[in-house]
Amino acid sequence: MSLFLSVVNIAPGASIQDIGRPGYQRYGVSEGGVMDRLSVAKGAALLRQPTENAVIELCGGGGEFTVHGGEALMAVTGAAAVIALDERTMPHQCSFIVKENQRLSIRLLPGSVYSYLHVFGGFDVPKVMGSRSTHIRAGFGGYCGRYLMADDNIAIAASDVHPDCTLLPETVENKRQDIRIVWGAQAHLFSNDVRSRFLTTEFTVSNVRDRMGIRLECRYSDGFPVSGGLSGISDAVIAGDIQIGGDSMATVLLADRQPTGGYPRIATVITADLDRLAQLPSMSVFRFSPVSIEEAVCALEDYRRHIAAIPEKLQSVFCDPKYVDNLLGYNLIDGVVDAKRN
Amino acid sequence: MNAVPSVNPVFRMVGESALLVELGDHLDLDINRAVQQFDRAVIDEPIAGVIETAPTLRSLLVRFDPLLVSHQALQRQLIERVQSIREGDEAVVTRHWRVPVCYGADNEGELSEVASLLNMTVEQVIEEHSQFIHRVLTLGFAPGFLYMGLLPAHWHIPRLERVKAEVPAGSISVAVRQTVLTSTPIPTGWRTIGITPFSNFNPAQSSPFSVEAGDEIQFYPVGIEKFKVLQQAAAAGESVAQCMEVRGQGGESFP
Repeated sequence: MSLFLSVVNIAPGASIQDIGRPGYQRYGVSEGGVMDRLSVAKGAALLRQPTENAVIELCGGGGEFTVHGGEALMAVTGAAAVIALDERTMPHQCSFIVKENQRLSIRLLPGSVYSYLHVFGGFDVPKVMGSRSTHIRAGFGGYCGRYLMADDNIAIAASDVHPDCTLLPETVENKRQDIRIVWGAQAHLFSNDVRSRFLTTEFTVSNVRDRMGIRLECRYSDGFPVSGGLSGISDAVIAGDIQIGGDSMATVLLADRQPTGGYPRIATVITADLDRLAQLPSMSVFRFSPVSIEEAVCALEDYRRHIAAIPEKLQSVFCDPKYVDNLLGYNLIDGVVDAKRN
Repeated sequence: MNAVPSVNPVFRMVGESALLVELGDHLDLDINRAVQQFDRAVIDEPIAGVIETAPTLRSLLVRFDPLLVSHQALQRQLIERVQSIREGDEAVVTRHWRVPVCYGADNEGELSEVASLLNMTVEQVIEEHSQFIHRVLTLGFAPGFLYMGLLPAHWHIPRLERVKAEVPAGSISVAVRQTVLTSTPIPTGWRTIGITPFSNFNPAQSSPFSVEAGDEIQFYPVGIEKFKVLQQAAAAGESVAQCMEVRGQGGESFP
């Protein structure tokens, strides 16, 4: 019997994702992929497997799962969550074995946005155009081209030998509160006044958010009006572009954005800050800080160096649950502190 | 052969990992053609560090890895590619497609509306739209979605005031001298005049997209019965659009 994960229940918005589908924007397909690449790199390191393997992206809420056809080595990363294997609490950012018919429960803490469920071998859904990411709007990729639901059975790529269980200590990744931007492709269509106001404004992450983008709210009812010269011709857009809509309000476009758009983009969030932006809880408040292209490239270099160094921080743990207790206190407390900080 | 005189690229950074190269500030067939030639030049003579390019109506998006190539070095190489574009390039092969359309099938009301906006009969609209050689200006918005143009000036009809929640895959819709063909269900603010069994997005196939920017399309009207037969053929994986390749830059009709 082949190995698979059965979904007992799951909060809406969860989907199979991997690192995305670059190369098809010319055909109207945006890259997609996980919203928080750093967290997915951590899961891949914990399971000592490539970051390309498909994961389940949990979006708020959480879910309950069982494994059938064998046992699986799993890990949970991303936003803070309470994890339990049957009655036993399991640590975040730690790999552990889920035995046949054991019930794995993942409950995201209030305000948590995206958590990731990883399995050794990866979730084995068919690759479409080189990727296992779900493209929800067009209904392809991932598991049947849609969000996951109760009773879905998702194949796990089989493997006889698991690597040892490991733990990644929770550390404060990034103390920054601001989100860094470079001025956008159409920034010249905005007056200096509007641009400086954009930088001093406190933005609130609204509830109008999904994998396509996040609508931002602010106290200026007239928003960030464009000065003119708007051609109305659509151009290609990328993840991180901050579009000013017809109502002069800002929306950050993310992984599943439409590939083209006609609204002017005042600024673009730098790649190194995209994960952090995607994980900002709804109603949180932040500001944008402008950086130069050179600073953005340095930040990208730091971000990649940080990801490359994750395996060095792994700590061995015993797989047997009876040894797990002593590491729980230490790790879970950090998780809770994490949630409060957000 | 001369360099295209109107091409004067404007480079705009989009974040630290993409450059938007604008070849014009308005929608124009020559500029659009230059974008496609520019894109071809970058594909044919690749630049280290470039991840992908995406041609749009008047610009080319170039996504790159700034740790492999600096934006200044990339810009220099892109300028060389722009300068390599030549007018009336005889080596260019244009693909002509013949695509069946059942005009009015899904939305007779909007086809009539288009006729009255154009001050024509429905029959005249079908005749003019199906005799016209449509140029594929760009793909965008949704997988396989085609923007085609530019219809004669009197086709400058406005978009609808309200966006329709969803039109089915295969919808052929018109506005502002353009025709769009959708291959997935999408919301649209354009008037839908017909439906085709042809899909430009077949994700299960090794080449999911058939039509590319720069191709030419001529539609031919089919009745509802023929449409249903073709729709079944398409569902069975058969090709329902005919393609032929023509040397030179198009404009010819099918024999």
